[in-house]
Amino acid sequence: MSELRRRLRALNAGNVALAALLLLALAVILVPALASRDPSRIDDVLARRLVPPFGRDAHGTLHLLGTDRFGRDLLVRMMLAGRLSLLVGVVGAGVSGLVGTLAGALAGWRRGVLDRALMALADLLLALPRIVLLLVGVALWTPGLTTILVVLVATGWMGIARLVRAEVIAVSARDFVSAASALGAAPRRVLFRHVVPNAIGPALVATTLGVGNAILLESGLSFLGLGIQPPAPSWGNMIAGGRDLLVTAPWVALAPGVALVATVLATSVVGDEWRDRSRGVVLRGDRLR
Amino acid sequence: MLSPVASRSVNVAGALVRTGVLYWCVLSLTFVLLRMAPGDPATFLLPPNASGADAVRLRATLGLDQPVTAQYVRWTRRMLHGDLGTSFSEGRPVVAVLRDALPVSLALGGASLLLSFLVGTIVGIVQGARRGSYTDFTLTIISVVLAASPAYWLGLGAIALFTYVASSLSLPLWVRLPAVGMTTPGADLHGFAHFVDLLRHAILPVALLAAIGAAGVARYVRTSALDVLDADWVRTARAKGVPERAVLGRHLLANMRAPLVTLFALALPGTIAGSVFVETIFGWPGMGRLMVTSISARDYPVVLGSAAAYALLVIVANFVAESLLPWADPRLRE
Repeated sequence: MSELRRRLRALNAGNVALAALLLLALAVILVPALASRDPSRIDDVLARRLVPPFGRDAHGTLHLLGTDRFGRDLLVRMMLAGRLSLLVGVVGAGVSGLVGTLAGALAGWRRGVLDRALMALADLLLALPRIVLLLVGVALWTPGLTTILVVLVATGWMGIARLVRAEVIAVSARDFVSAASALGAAPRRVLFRHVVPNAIGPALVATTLGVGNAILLESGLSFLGLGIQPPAPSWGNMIAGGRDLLVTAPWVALAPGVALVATVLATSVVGDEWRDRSRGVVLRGDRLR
Repeated sequence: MLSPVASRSVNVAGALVRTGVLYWCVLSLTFVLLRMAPGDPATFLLPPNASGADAVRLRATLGLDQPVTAQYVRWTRRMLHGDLGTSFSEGRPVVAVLRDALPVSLALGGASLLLSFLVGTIVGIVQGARRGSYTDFTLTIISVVLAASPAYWLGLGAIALFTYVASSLSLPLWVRLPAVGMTTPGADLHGFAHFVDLLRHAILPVALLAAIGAAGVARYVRTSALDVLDADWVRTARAKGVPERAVLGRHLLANMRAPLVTLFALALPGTIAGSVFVETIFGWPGMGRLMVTSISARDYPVVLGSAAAYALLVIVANFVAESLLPWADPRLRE
């Protein structure tokens, strides 16, 4: 009985997180689209700046989360930034997952020189902390969305590749693979129709967990001024913008930070949930592991 | 047949060679990246009023007019002499710049890594021993939220709390912690007073890094502890009347040694990433801040030099962990 209740509770954590993410996705699309003012427009700064949450500016406009030092509405800017963060998270982690899956599948399937070369490259890149690689990347090329995405993918595929490679090697030895080959399926078909779909589970979970990581890294770079450049909003550069207002207007740095933590938390809860489910069993009735 | 000692030396030597080759590849990667960078280093180095002839002369002195292979050979020769180039912005050798910054980062990272393992192991074992309790639940929530929080944001919060809020509530002076720098600027302190000053400056950054690290360690230790506590021999130990304290303190801890050694190497990149932000926020002149400032200054040799130093740390940590594993887990001594 308590086992069942536990299951329900844990299921709820995953579902709540997923629902929160969907809600956020909806909000980042709708809120800026429905905003009455252009969120990057700066005018009548004195009348509009640093309005506290739920306050009205001198023009009588309500600002649910207040305004920043230039009188821009924080809620609208946060949702605009959310578009970017979700995009960076999903595309950054998704493409890393894709590249990693391809590299891992080829390495595990073909073995030999290709395998050794790819895994040596992965070892090489894993020897450098990811943030350091990211910093080197933005140092050498201009900071911006494209650079961030390219560097995120270039530094994010290795772990997935290793996972997929190990799975592909294990799956390749199974009878149904030999059977498919014996029936005359072309090697490419065997690999992509029979081996990869059975080897991809851990990679999917790792990719989901990578979404939060990618969002955190992008925000960090933007905070340092090396990512998304103002006036385009990103949670990271919005926090940086509130850095010297911590005393007078703490909400400027607080709101984007809460959004960031909540989003990363939700993706990791969804990822954990998925991992536990893909194991197929509730491990000792313990879902918080 | 080799004796066990000899075969282990051969293994260590092999690992050492692999580590060396790997590090050489990392260094070569920095060479490739520097060559891939857009723009001509000469334009960064020359004053705005320099002529085209100046640029040609500078490229010749830097060897940039030679073929890439010749440049690589030249670069290799310099590397083997421990020469990482010259900082564009400071005009000093990169090695000298790194020599100033590295101890700061090592002290900051080392102290917080140590603390995070101490706290994280204890918290994780407590959670494992009281699985499903409210303590376990609360600690899990805390560690999951900490793991999802960016270090720089928590740092800003800590600064606001321990400087502005503490002083506006007129809390006693020892609670109001300094937020920026390693020491009080201008204060000419010596001996014990200097040490106390440094310690007070270190509390916030070290505690922050340690808390984030401890959250990760605790989650990992909890999982490993649950695996161990479900083992048959734990049930046997309990059945024959070994007190719970001894089960946790001796049986469990002995079996946690190997995972902890592995985790120590795995945790290093995370600490490095955290320290990049923490050093920037708290104004500590370590490698992380050096890297960030030299990126803004387009000081490529320093950026790549610090990357190489970070890679060396990670590779050495992996090597040490690999060599320590047989000590941590006798089953691996074969």
